[in-house]
Amino acid sequence: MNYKEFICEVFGDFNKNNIDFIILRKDEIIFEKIKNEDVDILISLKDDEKVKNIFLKKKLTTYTDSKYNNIYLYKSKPHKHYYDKKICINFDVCFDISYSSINNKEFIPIDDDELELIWQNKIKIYKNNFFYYKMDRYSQLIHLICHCIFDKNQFSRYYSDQINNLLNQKIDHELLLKMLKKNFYKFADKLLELLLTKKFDTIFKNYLTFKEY
Amino acid sequence: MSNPGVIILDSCKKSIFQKILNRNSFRYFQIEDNIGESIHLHFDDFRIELSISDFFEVCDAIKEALNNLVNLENFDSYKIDPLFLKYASKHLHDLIEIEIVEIDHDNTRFILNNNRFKLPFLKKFKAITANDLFEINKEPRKYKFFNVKNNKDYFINSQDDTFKPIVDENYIIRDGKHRLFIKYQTKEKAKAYLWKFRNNSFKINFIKHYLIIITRRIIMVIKNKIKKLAQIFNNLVEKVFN
Repeated sequence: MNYKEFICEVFGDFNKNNIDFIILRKDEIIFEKIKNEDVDILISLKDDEKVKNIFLKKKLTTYTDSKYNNIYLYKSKPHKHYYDKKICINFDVCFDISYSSINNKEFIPIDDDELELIWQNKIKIYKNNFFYYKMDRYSQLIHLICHCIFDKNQFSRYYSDQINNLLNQKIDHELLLKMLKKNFYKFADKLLELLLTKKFDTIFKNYLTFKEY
Repeated sequence: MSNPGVIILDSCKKSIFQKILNRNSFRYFQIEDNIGESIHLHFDDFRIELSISDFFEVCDAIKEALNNLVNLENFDSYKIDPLFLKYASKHLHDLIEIEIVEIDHDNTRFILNNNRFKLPFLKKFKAITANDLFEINKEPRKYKFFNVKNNKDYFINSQDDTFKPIVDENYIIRDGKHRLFIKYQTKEKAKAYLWKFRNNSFKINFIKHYLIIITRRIIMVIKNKIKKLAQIFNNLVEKVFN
Protein backbone atom coordinates (compact mmCIF):
# COMPACT_ATOMS: atom_id res chain seq x y z
CA MET A 1 0.00 0.00 0.00
CA ASN A 2 1.37 3.42 -0.88
CA TYR A 3 1.26 6.66 1.11
CA LYS A 4 -1.80 8.10 -0.62
CA GLU A 5 -3.86 4.87 -0.36
CA PHE A 6 -2.88 4.56 3.28
CA ILE A 7 -4.05 8.07 4.19
CA CYS A 8 -7.34 7.56 2.33
CA GLU A 9 -7.93 4.28 4.13
CA VAL A 10 -7.18 5.81 7.57
CA PHE A 11 -9.49 8.77 6.98
CA GLY A 12 -12.16 6.39 5.61
CA ASP A 13 -11.93 4.43 8.87
CA PHE A 14 -12.26 7.69 10.83
CA ASN A 15 -15.50 8.41 8.94
CA LYS A 16 -16.84 4.90 9.61
CA ASN A 17 -16.15 5.34 13.33
CA ASN A 18 -17.77 8.80 13.43
CA ILE A 19 -14.51 10.51 14.32
CA ASP A 20 -14.50 14.16 13.36
CA PHE A 21 -11.06 15.46 12.45
CA ILE A 22 -9.72 18.71 11.07
CA ILE A 23 -6.64 18.72 8.88
CA LEU A 24 -4.77 21.73 10.23
CA ARG A 25 -2.37 22.53 7.43
CA LYS A 26 -1.30 21.53 3.94
CA ASP A 27 -4.43 19.49 3.24
CA GLU A 28 -4.11 20.15 -0.49
CA ILE A 29 -0.63 18.64 -0.70
CA ILE A 30 -0.64 15.75 1.76
CA PHE A 31 -2.76 13.62 -0.58
CA GLU A 32 -0.31 14.20 -3.40
CA LYS A 33 2.77 13.64 -1.24
CA ILE A 34 4.92 16.23 -2.89
CA LYS A 35 7.30 16.16 0.06
CA ASN A 36 7.55 14.20 3.26
CA GLU A 37 5.02 16.21 5.20
CA ASP A 38 3.55 15.35 8.58
CA VAL A 39 -0.20 14.96 8.59
CA ASP A 40 -1.33 17.41 11.27
CA ILE A 41 -4.83 16.62 12.47
CA LEU A 42 -6.99 17.98 15.25
CA ILE A 43 -9.33 15.58 17.00
CA SER A 44 -11.49 15.78 20.08
CA LEU A 45 -10.06 14.24 23.24
CA LYS A 46 -13.11 11.95 23.49
CA ASP A 47 -12.04 10.26 20.23
CA ASP A 48 -8.48 9.59 21.42
CA GLU A 49 -9.10 5.91 22.18
CA LYS A 50 -10.92 5.23 18.90
CA VAL A 51 -8.15 6.94 16.90
CA LYS A 52 -5.50 4.96 18.75
CA ASN A 53 -7.25 1.68 17.98
CA ILE A 54 -7.49 2.48 14.28
CA PHE A 55 -3.80 3.36 14.05
CA LEU A 56 -2.67 0.37 16.09
CA LYS A 57 -4.74 -2.00 13.95
CA LYS A 58 -2.77 -0.66 11.01
CA LYS A 59 0.46 -1.49 12.84
CA LEU A 60 1.62 2.08 13.25
CA THR A 61 4.11 2.87 16.00
CA THR A 62 3.14 5.52 18.50
CA TYR A 63 4.78 7.98 20.84
CA THR A 64 3.69 11.10 22.68
CA ASP A 65 5.66 14.35 22.63
CA SER A 66 7.87 14.60 25.67
CA LYS A 67 6.36 16.34 28.66
CA TYR A 68 9.84 16.19 30.19
CA ASN A 69 11.57 18.16 27.46
CA ASN A 70 8.70 20.48 26.56
CA ILE A 71 6.75 22.81 28.80
CA TYR A 72 2.97 22.71 28.42
CA LEU A 73 1.27 25.73 29.96
CA TYR A 74 -2.41 26.38 30.71
CA LYS A 75 -3.41 22.72 30.28
CA SER A 76 -2.18 22.42 26.69
CA LYS A 77 -1.78 18.81 25.69
CA PRO A 78 1.20 17.01 24.16
CA HIS A 79 0.69 15.79 20.59
CA LYS A 80 0.50 12.08 19.82
CA HIS A 81 2.37 10.68 16.87
CA TYR A 82 1.57 7.58 14.86
CA TYR A 83 4.13 6.67 12.25
CA ASP A 84 5.31 4.04 9.82
CA LYS A 85 8.85 4.42 8.54
CA LYS A 86 8.25 2.12 5.55
CA ILE A 87 5.48 4.28 4.12
CA CYS A 88 7.24 7.44 5.39
CA ILE A 89 4.15 8.67 7.15
CA ASN A 90 3.70 10.48 10.44
CA PHE A 91 0.30 11.48 11.77
CA ASP A 92 0.71 14.35 14.25
CA VAL A 93 -2.46 14.19 16.31
CA CYS A 94 -3.37 17.11 18.56
CA PHE A 95 -6.29 17.67 20.89
CA ASP A 96 -6.04 21.43 21.07
CA ILE A 97 -4.30 24.15 19.13
CA SER A 98 -1.19 25.43 20.90
CA TYR A 99 1.60 27.72 19.82
CA SER A 100 5.10 27.89 21.20
CA SER A 101 5.94 31.05 23.06
CA ILE A 102 8.68 33.35 21.83
CA ASN A 103 10.43 33.05 25.17
CA ASN A 104 11.33 29.42 25.79
CA LYS A 105 9.05 27.65 23.36
CA GLU A 106 6.53 26.77 26.07
CA PHE A 107 3.26 25.54 24.54
CA ILE A 108 0.31 27.89 25.04
CA PRO A 109 -3.17 26.77 23.94
CA ILE A 110 -5.85 28.92 22.35
CA ASP A 111 -8.89 29.60 24.56
CA ASP A 112 -11.61 26.97 24.80
CA ASP A 113 -14.20 29.24 23.18
CA GLU A 114 -11.87 29.87 20.21
CA LEU A 115 -11.36 26.11 19.82
CA GLU A 116 -15.11 25.60 20.07
CA LEU A 117 -15.62 28.16 17.31
CA ILE A 118 -13.15 26.32 15.08
CA TRP A 119 -15.12 23.07 15.55
CA GLN A 120 -18.44 24.84 14.95
CA ASN A 121 -17.34 26.60 11.74
CA LYS A 122 -15.40 23.70 10.20
CA ILE A 123 -15.90 23.04 6.51
CA LYS A 124 -16.60 19.56 5.19
CA ILE A 125 -14.51 18.51 2.20
CA TYR A 126 -15.43 15.42 0.20
CA LYS A 127 -12.61 13.45 -1.32
CA ASN A 128 -13.09 10.23 -3.32
CA ASN A 129 -14.39 7.75 -0.74
CA PHE A 130 -14.10 9.79 2.44
CA PHE A 131 -14.49 13.27 3.85
CA TYR A 132 -12.44 15.47 6.15
CA TYR A 133 -12.81 18.88 7.71
CA LYS A 134 -10.76 22.01 7.41
CA MET A 135 -11.04 25.31 9.24
CA ASP A 136 -13.09 28.18 7.90
CA ARG A 137 -11.17 30.95 6.11
CA TYR A 138 -10.83 33.27 9.10
CA SER A 139 -9.68 30.55 11.47
CA GLN A 140 -7.27 29.25 8.82
CA LEU A 141 -5.79 32.72 8.38
CA ILE A 142 -5.36 33.26 12.12
CA HIS A 143 -3.93 29.78 12.55
CA LEU A 144 -1.39 30.14 9.73
CA ILE A 145 -0.29 33.58 10.92
CA CYS A 146 0.13 32.38 14.52
CA HIS A 147 1.92 29.23 13.34
CA CYS A 148 4.39 31.25 11.26
CA ILE A 149 5.08 33.89 13.91
CA PHE A 150 5.10 31.81 17.09
CA ASP A 151 6.14 28.34 15.96
CA LYS A 152 8.31 29.01 12.94
CA ASN A 153 9.45 32.61 13.57
CA GLN A 154 9.23 33.18 9.81
CA PHE A 155 6.85 32.98 6.86
CA SER A 156 7.90 30.31 4.38
CA ARG A 157 7.06 30.68 0.72
CA TYR A 158 4.31 28.09 1.03
CA TYR A 159 2.59 29.76 3.98
CA SER A 160 2.97 33.25 2.46
CA ASP A 161 1.21 31.99 -0.68
CA GLN A 162 -1.52 30.30 1.36
CA ILE A 163 -2.16 33.46 3.40
CA ASN A 164 -2.18 35.52 0.22
CA ASN A 165 -4.73 33.20 -1.38
CA LEU A 166 -6.97 33.43 1.66
CA LEU A 167 -6.67 37.22 1.82
CA ASN A 168 -7.62 37.45 -1.86
CA GLN A 169 -10.89 35.72 -1.11
CA LYS A 170 -13.83 37.65 0.28
CA ILE A 171 -12.51 38.61 3.71
CA ASP A 172 -13.97 41.24 6.01
CA HIS A 173 -10.86 43.14 7.12
CA GLU A 174 -12.55 44.56 10.20
CA LEU A 175 -13.51 41.11 11.43
CA LEU A 176 -10.03 39.79 10.67
CA LEU A 177 -8.48 42.70 12.58
CA LYS A 178 -10.71 41.98 15.55
CA MET A 179 -9.55 38.35 15.52
CA LEU A 180 -5.89 39.34 15.13
CA LYS A 181 -6.18 41.68 18.12
CA LYS A 182 -7.02 38.73 20.35
CA ASN A 183 -3.58 37.25 19.71
CA PHE A 184 -1.42 40.20 18.74
CA TYR A 185 -3.01 43.05 20.69
CA LYS A 186 -1.77 46.48 19.52
CA PHE A 187 0.48 44.91 16.89
CA ALA A 188 -2.62 43.70 15.02
CA ASP A 189 -3.04 46.93 12.96
CA LYS A 190 0.57 46.88 11.85
CA LEU A 191 0.36 43.13 11.19
CA LEU A 192 -2.68 43.48 8.95
CA GLU A 193 -0.96 46.28 7.05
CA LEU A 194 2.13 44.10 6.48
CA LEU A 195 -0.02 41.15 5.40
CA LEU A 196 -2.02 43.22 2.93
CA THR A 197 1.13 44.74 1.46
CA LYS A 198 2.67 41.23 1.29
CA LYS A 199 5.75 42.15 3.35
CA PHE A 200 5.96 38.68 4.85
CA ASP A 201 9.75 38.72 5.24
CA THR A 202 9.62 41.66 7.62
CA ILE A 203 6.74 40.55 9.83
CA PHE A 204 8.67 38.65 12.50
CA LYS A 205 11.33 41.37 12.87
CA ASN A 206 8.58 44.00 13.05
CA TYR A 207 6.84 41.94 15.71
CA LEU A 208 9.94 41.63 17.91
CA THR A 209 10.81 45.30 17.61
CA PHE A 210 7.27 46.65 17.97
CA LYS A 211 7.16 49.38 20.63
CA GLU A 212 3.83 51.17 20.38
CA TYR A 213 2.15 49.88 23.51
CA MET B 1 -5.15 32.86 24.40
CA SER B 2 -2.48 34.01 26.81
CA ASN B 3 0.07 36.05 24.86
CA PRO B 4 2.74 33.68 23.42
CA GLY B 5 4.76 36.76 22.43
CA VAL B 6 6.48 36.98 25.78
CA ILE B 7 10.14 37.70 26.29
CA ILE B 8 11.52 37.46 29.81
CA LEU B 9 13.75 40.52 30.04
CA ASP B 10 15.16 39.53 33.38
CA SER B 11 14.29 37.59 36.49
CA CYS B 12 15.60 37.22 39.99
CA LYS B 13 14.76 34.13 42.02
CA LYS B 14 15.62 33.48 45.63
CA SER B 15 17.20 30.17 46.52
CA ILE B 16 15.46 27.89 49.00
CA PHE B 17 18.01 28.90 51.70
CA GLN B 18 17.40 32.60 51.14
CA LYS B 19 13.67 31.94 51.40
CA ILE B 20 14.10 30.10 54.70
CA LEU B 21 16.37 32.82 56.09
CA ASN B 22 14.08 35.66 55.11
CA ARG B 23 10.45 34.62 54.85
CA ASN B 24 9.24 38.19 54.31
CA SER B 25 11.28 38.59 51.15
CA PHE B 26 9.77 38.11 47.70
CA ARG B 27 10.34 34.68 46.11
CA TYR B 28 10.82 35.89 42.59
CA PHE B 29 10.85 39.07 40.60
CA GLN B 30 10.45 38.95 36.83
CA ILE B 31 10.22 41.54 34.08
CA GLU B 32 8.42 40.40 30.93
CA ASP B 33 7.84 42.09 27.62
CA ASN B 34 4.40 40.96 26.44
CA ILE B 35 4.70 42.12 22.84
CA GLY B 36 1.85 44.39 21.77
CA GLU B 37 0.30 44.25 25.21
CA SER B 38 2.38 45.64 28.09
CA ILE B 39 5.48 45.25 30.23
CA HIS B 40 4.77 43.06 33.25
CA LEU B 41 6.63 43.37 36.53
CA HIS B 42 5.97 40.29 38.66
CA PHE B 43 6.59 40.22 42.39
CA ASP B 44 5.44 36.73 43.39
CA ASP B 45 1.67 36.75 42.76
CA PHE B 46 1.52 40.51 42.32
CA ARG B 47 1.73 41.94 38.80
CA ILE B 48 2.21 45.51 37.61
CA GLU B 49 1.34 46.27 33.99
CA LEU B 50 3.12 49.17 32.34
CA SER B 51 3.32 50.73 28.91
CA ILE B 52 6.82 50.88 27.43
CA SER B 53 7.15 54.62 28.13
CA ASP B 54 5.93 54.15 31.72
CA PHE B 55 8.44 51.33 32.14
CA PHE B 56 11.32 53.57 31.02
CA GLU B 57 10.13 56.23 33.48
CA VAL B 58 10.23 53.65 36.28
CA CYS B 59 13.73 52.59 35.13
CA ASP B 60 14.94 56.21 35.28
CA ALA B 61 13.46 56.64 38.74
CA ILE B 62 15.27 53.50 39.93
CA LYS B 63 18.56 54.62 38.35
CA GLU B 64 18.19 58.03 40.02
CA ALA B 65 17.46 56.33 43.34
CA LEU B 66 20.52 54.12 42.89
CA ASN B 67 22.73 57.15 42.19
CA ASN B 68 21.48 58.78 45.40
CA LEU B 69 21.86 55.57 47.38
CA VAL B 70 25.44 54.83 46.25
CA ASN B 71 26.29 58.55 46.41
CA LEU B 72 29.90 58.29 45.20
CA GLU B 73 31.82 60.51 42.86
CA ASN B 74 32.01 59.03 39.32
CA PHE B 75 29.14 56.65 39.94
CA ASP B 76 26.42 57.25 37.36
CA SER B 77 24.01 54.38 36.77
CA TYR B 78 22.88 55.97 33.49
CA LYS B 79 26.36 55.40 32.05
CA ILE B 80 26.84 51.82 33.23
CA ASP B 81 25.87 48.85 31.07
CA PRO B 82 22.61 47.62 32.67
CA LEU B 83 23.77 43.99 32.51
CA PHE B 84 26.99 44.82 34.32
CA LEU B 85 25.07 46.92 36.84
CA LYS B 86 22.87 43.94 37.62
CA TYR B 87 25.91 41.66 37.93
CA ALA B 88 27.67 44.10 40.28
CA SER B 89 24.53 45.14 42.18
CA LYS B 90 24.86 42.69 45.06
CA HIS B 91 28.30 44.15 45.87
CA LEU B 92 27.33 47.83 45.57
CA HIS B 93 26.91 48.28 49.32
CA ASP B 94 30.65 47.48 49.62
CA LEU B 95 31.69 49.99 46.95
CA ILE B 96 33.74 52.66 48.69
CA GLU B 97 35.42 54.65 45.96
CA ILE B 98 35.62 55.08 42.19
CA GLU B 99 38.94 56.45 41.03
CA ILE B 100 39.91 57.45 37.51
CA VAL B 101 43.19 55.72 36.64
CA GLU B 102 45.44 55.36 33.63
CA ILE B 103 45.66 51.88 32.14
CA ASP B 104 47.81 50.46 29.36
CA HIS B 105 48.40 47.32 27.31
CA ASP B 106 50.59 45.73 29.99
CA ASN B 107 48.84 46.42 33.26
CA THR B 108 45.30 45.35 32.25
CA ARG B 109 43.91 41.90 31.70
CA PHE B 110 40.85 40.69 29.82
CA ILE B 111 38.63 37.78 30.92
CA LEU B 112 38.09 35.42 27.97
CA ASN B 113 36.69 31.91 27.59
CA ASN B 114 38.08 31.31 24.11
CA ASN B 115 39.28 27.79 24.95
CA ARG B 116 37.83 24.35 24.26
CA PHE B 117 36.43 24.01 27.81
CA LYS B 118 34.80 27.46 27.70
CA LEU B 119 36.34 28.33 31.06
CA PRO B 120 37.33 31.95 31.78
CA PHE B 121 41.03 32.85 31.79
CA LEU B 122 42.92 36.12 32.11
CA LYS B 123 44.70 37.38 29.01
CA LYS B 124 46.75 40.48 28.25
CA PHE B 125 45.83 42.63 25.24
CA LYS B 126 48.83 41.44 23.22
CA ALA B 127 47.84 37.80 23.71
CA ILE B 128 44.41 38.10 22.11
CA THR B 129 43.06 38.85 18.68
CA ALA B 130 39.80 40.46 17.57
CA ASN B 131 38.66 37.00 16.49
CA ASP B 132 39.29 35.63 20.02
CA LEU B 133 37.22 38.37 21.57
CA PHE B 134 34.38 38.88 19.11
CA GLU B 135 33.94 35.42 17.60
CA ILE B 136 35.28 32.67 19.87
CA ASN B 137 34.68 34.22 23.29
CA LYS B 138 31.09 33.63 24.41
CA GLU B 139 29.66 36.16 26.82
CA PRO B 140 27.51 34.55 29.50
CA ARG B 141 25.50 37.78 29.70
CA LYS B 142 23.55 38.32 26.51
CA TYR B 143 20.27 39.72 25.27
CA LYS B 144 17.76 37.42 23.67
CA PHE B 145 17.59 37.82 19.88
CA PHE B 146 20.72 40.03 19.94
CA ASN B 147 22.39 39.62 16.59
CA VAL B 148 25.80 38.28 17.59
CA LYS B 149 27.23 38.72 14.09
CA ASN B 150 26.77 42.49 14.41
CA ASN B 151 28.65 42.54 17.69
CA LYS B 152 31.91 44.08 16.48
CA ASP B 153 30.23 46.74 14.35
CA TYR B 154 27.96 47.56 17.25
CA PHE B 155 30.94 48.21 19.54
CA ILE B 156 32.84 50.16 16.89
CA ASN B 157 29.79 52.36 16.31
CA SER B 158 29.17 52.94 20.00
CA GLN B 159 32.78 54.08 20.57
CA ASP B 160 33.28 57.59 21.92
CA ASP B 161 36.19 59.56 23.41
CA THR B 162 34.64 59.85 26.86
CA PHE B 163 34.26 56.08 27.23
CA LYS B 164 36.05 54.56 30.24
CA PRO B 165 35.98 50.84 31.06
CA ILE B 166 35.55 49.60 34.62
CA VAL B 167 38.48 47.77 36.21
CA ASP B 168 38.85 46.18 39.62
CA GLU B 169 41.76 46.48 42.05
CA ASN B 170 43.70 43.84 40.10
CA TYR B 171 43.23 45.84 36.87
CA ILE B 172 41.02 43.14 35.39
CA ILE B 173 38.54 44.65 32.92
CA ARG B 174 35.13 44.03 34.46
CA ASP B 175 33.05 46.04 31.99
CA GLY B 176 33.76 47.55 28.56
CA LYS B 177 36.37 45.06 27.35
CA HIS B 178 35.12 45.07 23.75
CA ARG B 179 35.25 48.85 23.43
CA LEU B 180 38.58 48.99 25.26
CA PHE B 181 40.02 46.40 22.87
CA ILE B 182 39.02 48.58 19.91
CA LYS B 183 40.53 51.63 21.66
CA TYR B 184 43.76 49.73 22.43
CA GLN B 185 44.17 48.93 18.74
CA THR B 186 44.99 52.60 18.10
CA LYS B 187 46.12 53.82 21.53
CA GLU B 188 48.64 52.51 24.03
CA LYS B 189 46.95 54.08 27.06
CA ALA B 190 43.44 54.82 28.22
CA LYS B 191 41.55 56.10 31.23
CA ALA B 192 39.42 53.74 33.32
CA TYR B 193 37.19 53.75 36.38
CA LEU B 194 38.80 51.77 39.18
CA TRP B 195 36.04 50.44 41.43
CA LYS B 196 37.30 49.86 44.97
CA PHE B 197 35.35 47.59 47.29
CA ARG B 198 35.44 47.00 51.02
CA ASN B 199 37.13 43.68 51.94
CA ASN B 200 37.98 43.11 48.27
CA SER B 201 34.47 41.70 47.89
CA PHE B 202 34.34 42.20 44.12
CA LYS B 203 37.53 40.21 43.51
CA ILE B 204 37.12 37.22 41.19
CA ASN B 205 37.77 33.91 42.88
CA PHE B 206 38.61 31.78 39.85
CA ILE B 207 38.71 28.47 41.75
CA LYS B 208 35.22 29.09 43.15
CA HIS B 209 34.08 30.24 39.71
CA TYR B 210 35.36 27.10 37.99
CA LEU B 211 33.74 24.90 40.61
CA ILE B 212 30.39 26.63 40.07
CA ILE B 213 30.65 26.33 36.28
CA ILE B 214 31.63 22.65 36.40
CA THR B 215 28.93 21.82 38.96
CA ARG B 216 26.31 23.58 36.84
CA ARG B 217 27.41 21.66 33.76
CA ILE B 218 27.30 18.34 35.60
CA ILE B 219 23.81 19.13 36.93
CA MET B 220 22.71 20.07 33.40
CA VAL B 221 24.03 16.79 31.95
CA ILE B 222 22.37 14.75 34.73
CA LYS B 223 19.09 16.66 34.26
CA ASN B 224 19.10 15.97 30.52
CA LYS B 225 19.90 12.29 31.06
CA ILE B 226 17.06 11.98 33.58
CA LYS B 227 14.67 13.68 31.14
CA LYS B 228 15.71 11.32 28.35
CA LEU B 229 15.35 8.26 30.58
CA ALA B 230 11.94 9.43 31.80
CA GLN B 231 10.83 9.86 28.18
CA ILE B 232 12.13 6.40 27.20
CA PHE B 233 10.28 4.92 30.17
CA ASN B 234 7.16 6.85 29.23
CA ASN B 235 7.31 5.56 25.63
CA LEU B 236 7.87 2.02 26.88
CA VAL B 237 4.85 2.18 29.18
CA GLU B 238 2.79 3.55 26.30
CA LYS B 239 3.91 0.69 24.04
CA VAL B 240 3.36 -2.06 26.61
CA PHE B 241 -0.12 -0.86 27.60
CA ASN B 242 -1.23 -0.43 24.02
